[in-house]
Amino acid sequence: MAGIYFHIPFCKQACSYCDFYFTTHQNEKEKLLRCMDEEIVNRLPAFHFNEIKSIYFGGGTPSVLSYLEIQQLISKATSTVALMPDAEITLEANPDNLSMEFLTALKTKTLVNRLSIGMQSFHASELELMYRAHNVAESIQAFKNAREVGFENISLDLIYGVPGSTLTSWKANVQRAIDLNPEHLSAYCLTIEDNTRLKYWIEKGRHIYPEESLILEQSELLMEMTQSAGYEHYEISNFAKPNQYAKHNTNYWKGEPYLGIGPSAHSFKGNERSWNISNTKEYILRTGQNKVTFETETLSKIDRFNEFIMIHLRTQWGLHTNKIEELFGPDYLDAFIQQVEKIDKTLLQNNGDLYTLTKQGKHQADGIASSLFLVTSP
Amino acid sequence: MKNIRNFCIIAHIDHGKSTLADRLLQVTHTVSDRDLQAQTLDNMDIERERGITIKSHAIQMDYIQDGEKYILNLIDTPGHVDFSYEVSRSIAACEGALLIVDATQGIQAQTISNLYLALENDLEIIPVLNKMDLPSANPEEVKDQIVDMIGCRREDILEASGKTGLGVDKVLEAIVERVPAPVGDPDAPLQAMIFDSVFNSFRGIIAYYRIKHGVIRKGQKVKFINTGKEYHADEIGILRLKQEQRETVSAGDVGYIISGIKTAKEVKVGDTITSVENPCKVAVKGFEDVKPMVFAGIYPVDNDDYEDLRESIEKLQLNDASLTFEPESSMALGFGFRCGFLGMLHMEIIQERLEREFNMTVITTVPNVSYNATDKKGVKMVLRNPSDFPDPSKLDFVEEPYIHAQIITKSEYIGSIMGLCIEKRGVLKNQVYLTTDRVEMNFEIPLAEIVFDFYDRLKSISRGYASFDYTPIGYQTSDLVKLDILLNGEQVDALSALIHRNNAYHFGKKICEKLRELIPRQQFDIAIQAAIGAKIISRENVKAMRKDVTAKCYGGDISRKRKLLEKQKKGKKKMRQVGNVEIPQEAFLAVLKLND
Ligand SMILES: Nc1nc2c(ncn2[C@@H]2O[C@H](COP(=O)(O)OP(=O)(O)OP(=O)(O)O)[C@@H](O)[C@H]2O)c(=O)[nH]1
Ligand SMILES: C[S@@+](CC[C@H](N)C(=O)[O-])C[C@H]1O[C@@H](n2cnc3c(N)ncnc32)[C@H](O)[C@@H]1O
Ligand code: SF4
Ligand SMILES: [Mg+2]
Repeated sequence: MAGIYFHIPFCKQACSYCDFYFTTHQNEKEKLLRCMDEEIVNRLPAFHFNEIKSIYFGGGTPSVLSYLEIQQLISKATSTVALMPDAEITLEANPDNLSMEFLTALKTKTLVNRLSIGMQSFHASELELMYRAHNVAESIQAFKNAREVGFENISLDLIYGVPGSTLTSWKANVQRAIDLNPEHLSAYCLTIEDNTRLKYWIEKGRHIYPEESLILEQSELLMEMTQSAGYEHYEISNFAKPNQYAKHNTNYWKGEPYLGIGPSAHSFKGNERSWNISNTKEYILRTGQNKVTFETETLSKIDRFNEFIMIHLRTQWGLHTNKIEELFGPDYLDAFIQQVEKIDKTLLQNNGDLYTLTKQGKHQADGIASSLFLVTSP
Repeated sequence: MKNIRNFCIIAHIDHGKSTLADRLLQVTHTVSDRDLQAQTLDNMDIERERGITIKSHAIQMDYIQDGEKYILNLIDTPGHVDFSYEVSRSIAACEGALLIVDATQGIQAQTISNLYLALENDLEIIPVLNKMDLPSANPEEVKDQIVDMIGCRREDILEASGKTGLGVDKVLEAIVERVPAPVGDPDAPLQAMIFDSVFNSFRGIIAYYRIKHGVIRKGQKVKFINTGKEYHADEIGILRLKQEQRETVSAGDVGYIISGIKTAKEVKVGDTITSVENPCKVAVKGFEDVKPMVFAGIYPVDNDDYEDLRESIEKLQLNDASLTFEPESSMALGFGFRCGFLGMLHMEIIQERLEREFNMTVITTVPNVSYNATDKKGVKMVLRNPSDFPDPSKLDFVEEPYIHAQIITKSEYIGSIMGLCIEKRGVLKNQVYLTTDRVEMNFEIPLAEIVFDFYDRLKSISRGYASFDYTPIGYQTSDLVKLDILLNGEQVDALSALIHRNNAYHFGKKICEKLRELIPRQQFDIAIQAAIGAKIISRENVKAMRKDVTAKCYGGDISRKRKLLEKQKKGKKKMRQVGNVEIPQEAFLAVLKLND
C-alpha cells in the first residue's frame, strides 16, 4: 500500500486566501518536470513500495499541465513499481482548465481516473472575493464536460465561512454541489492564513470574518444536507458516497507511506517525515548539483502516538483502544484511558473500545486531540 | 588601629554613591583599571541590570597620606527605601559616613532619613556635593540646605564628581582627618559584630563582621553568642575586591569568617562572635529584626518543586535577612510559602533572584499588608493572608498599619500630590517650606495604599521632582473587607484580596476585566465574579470556545499541526485548575498589572 504525490506549483493567479506553494509564471516548467522525473528515480527505491495504490497531482494547479506531461510523470513513477489494478489517480483541477479537448485527452490518453475540481463557491461575489480565475458558469460547464467524457469519480471543493456569506448563501452552495451529484465533496472552513491578501483585507477592516456562531451553523447545515443526500462524513472536511472515499487522502490518515515529488511536497515512511524545499529555482538547482532537496524529521514514539491520536480522531473510523495497544503497548493505552476519561461525553463518545467525535466534538477536534496528547512517555 | 578608618557612603537613591566609590577604589589602586567598571561594587546581576544598589558592599582600601599608611574600610549602601535596613547595619560597623547629595537635586527624602540614622549612631558626617560636573549643579543653594539640616559649617562641605574624579583626593583626606579611628582593645576578649552574611555555593555561608575588641585567629574556636553555636574559624580574612585570607584580623577592622555554617538560621545579623576559650562578657547591641511590610504567597510553578523552593528561599534569606517566610497552602496553587517583604521592589527582586540564581519559576499571589483583627469576644489575631480573614459577623473591628510619609517636592506639584494622597486615604499633617520653592509635606496614610502604585504615580505626577520616605506609625481602625474572586461559582483562594471597602468596587471591576483578558476560552462559558461575602460586585464572561478545529490535515500539515497542538498541551499542563476552569499562571499576577 503506497501513494505518490506530485506537487505542481503553478497557478494562473493567486487566490486571495491561499498560502500553498506556487508561482504565477511557468518559466521553469520544463526544467522542473525533468527534475521531478529525477527525484522519482532517486528516491522511489528507498521507499520499498511493492505496488502503488494511489497517485495524486496536487498544487498549485496541476491542470495547467498538458495531458502528455501528466502521463509522463505517471509513467515514470510506475516504470519500476507496479500500479495496482484499481489504483486511484487523482488530478486537482481548476474549472477554467477543463475544456472538452483537455478532458478528452486526459480521459483517453492518461491513467487519471479521478478529478478534484476546485469550485469553491457558486456565488459570483464570493468567487470575486476569493480572486478565483473562473466564473460560476465555467464551473458548472467543467463538471458537465468531465461527466461527458466519462469521469465517474469526481470530487468538488467548497469553502465556507467566507466573509459576507450567510446561512442562506451557504445553503445554496451546498445544494448546487449536491445537485451535480459528485461522488465526493471536500468542504473547508476558510482559514485566514498569514501573508495572504485576504488577511490584509481583514486586518484593514475591508472584509469582516464571520461570527463563530455563523460558521458553526454553516458547518451543521453542511452535515445535515450531505447526510440526507447520502454522503458519509468520513473526515472533518470530507464527505463521500458509500465507498467513494478518497483513497490517497485516506492513506495519509491511516499512516501508510507516501512519496512526495516536487517543490514543497511531503513524504512519509515508517517513522520519518520529510519535505522538499518550497522554492522551485532552488529545487532545480539542488537537483542539478545532486544535492538533497528535502529535510527529514524522525518521529519519536510519543510523536507517533500524538499523530495517531490527532489524525484518527478526525475520521469516522475513530480511535480503537485495541489498535493503540497493538501499536504503542499497554502503558500508552493506560495513559490514553486516563486522559480520555476527562473528556466530556458530549464531545467524544465511545462504543466499546471505539472512540469517535460527536457532532459537537467535530467542531473541537484540535482541542480534544491536544488534551489527549502525551508530553512525556508513560 | 589609629590608622584604620571605617566609613559608609549614604545618600538618596541615585545620588551617585556607587560611582563615587568607584573613584575611591581607583585612586587607592584597590581595583586595577582593568577590573574597574561602572559601579564596580554592584556585583549582583540584578544590581547591574537595574542600575541600583540592593545590598551593602564592604571593601578595604590602602591609602597613604603624608607618608602614613591607612586602612580604609568602605561600605557602599543602597538608596531605595525598601533597603534602608541595609543602611542601618552598615552604619553600625562604622565611625563615619560620607553623606552624598546630588548637587542638581538637592536634599531628598532618603538623604534626610539616612542622615538621621547616622546621627543616631554618632557617626561623623562628611557632606559631599556630588555631580558637580553637571551644568545644572546648584551648589550654593544645596549647600544652604545642607547647612540648615546638619548644622555644619559651609566650608565643611566638599565638592566632588564621581564621574570626572573632581575632589576625590579631598574626600580621602577628609576621611582620614575627620573620621575618628576606631576605639577598641586588641588585648581584650574577642567581641565582633556580624553585620552581614552571604551564601556562596562553593564556600557555604560567609559572615562579615566588624571587630570591636580583641583579635580573631585562623583555626580558633569561636562562639556566636545569640545562637549559642560554636564553630572552627576555618578561614578568616579581609574584604578586598575578592576575599583575602589572613591569619588574624584585629580590633577596629572589618573581615569575614568561613566556619562550616550549614543553615541560614545559624547566622543572625547583629549577633556577636567571641572566642570559646576566653569569651567576652557582653554581646554588642544587635539590631531590631527588620519588619516586613508586605506579604504575599510564593508558589512553585510545578508542585514537585516545593522542597527546592524552600531550600532556595532559605539560601536567599541568608544574605537577605529581611525576607521572612512560613509555609502555607492554597486550593488553587498547592503548597507554597507566605513571604514577608520590605516593599514591592523587594518583592520583585526576591522573585527575580529566585528565578536567576536558583532557577525557580514561581507564582506570586496578591500582596497585602498585615492587619490586626479583634473578634466580638475580644480575641485578637493577626491577618497576613486573606484566608485568615474571619467570618465578618463574628468580627468586632480591624486595624490597619499606617505610615508617616514624608514627601519633598517642588512647590508647583503640591496640588497634584495632595490629590494623590487624599485619593489614597491620606491626611496631611503639615507642610514646611525648605526653600522658597521646595516643600516638605507630611502625611499619615495607610501602608496598604502605598504598596501598589503609589511610588510610580508620585514620580509621574511630579515629573520625577518628588522624593518619598516613610516610617510606620502603628495601627488605626479600618473598614476592611475580603474580596473574593469566583470562577464559575468556585472561589479561587489565591486571588482573594484584603482591601478597604471604598476601594473594593473599583478593584473588583478591574481585576475581573484583567482576568477576562488572561483566561483563555475553554469548552464552556466561564463567569468571572468579584464578591464581598455573598454579594457579587462585578462580573465578566469568557465565552466558550465552540470551534477549535483546522480545516485541513494533509501531508504537509501533519507535523506542523502536531507541534502546534503539543505546544498547547504543554501550556495547558502548566495551568492551574479550579473546579473545571483552567487558569494560566499569568492570571495570578493579574492584580499586579491592573494598570498595564
Ligand atoms: N554626571 C554625573 N553623573 C553621575 C555622577 N555620579 C553618578 N552619576 C550617575 O548617576 C546615576 C546613579 O549613580 P549610582 O552611583 O548608581 O548611584 P547610587 O547612589 O549608588 O544609586 P543607588 O545605590 O541605587 O541608591 C548613574 O547613571 C551614574 O552614572 C557624577 O558625579 N556626575
Ligand atoms: C491548495 S488547493 C489546490 C487545488 C486547486 N489549485 C484549486 O484551487 O482548486 C486545494 C484546496 O484547498 C482549499 N484551500 C486552499 N486554501 C484554503 C484556505 N486558506 N482555507 C480553506 N481552504 C483552502 C481550497 O478549497 C482548494 O480547493
Ligand atoms: S487555491 Fe488553488 S488555484 Fe488558488 S492559488 Fe491556491 S493552489 Fe492556486
Ligand atoms: Mg549604588
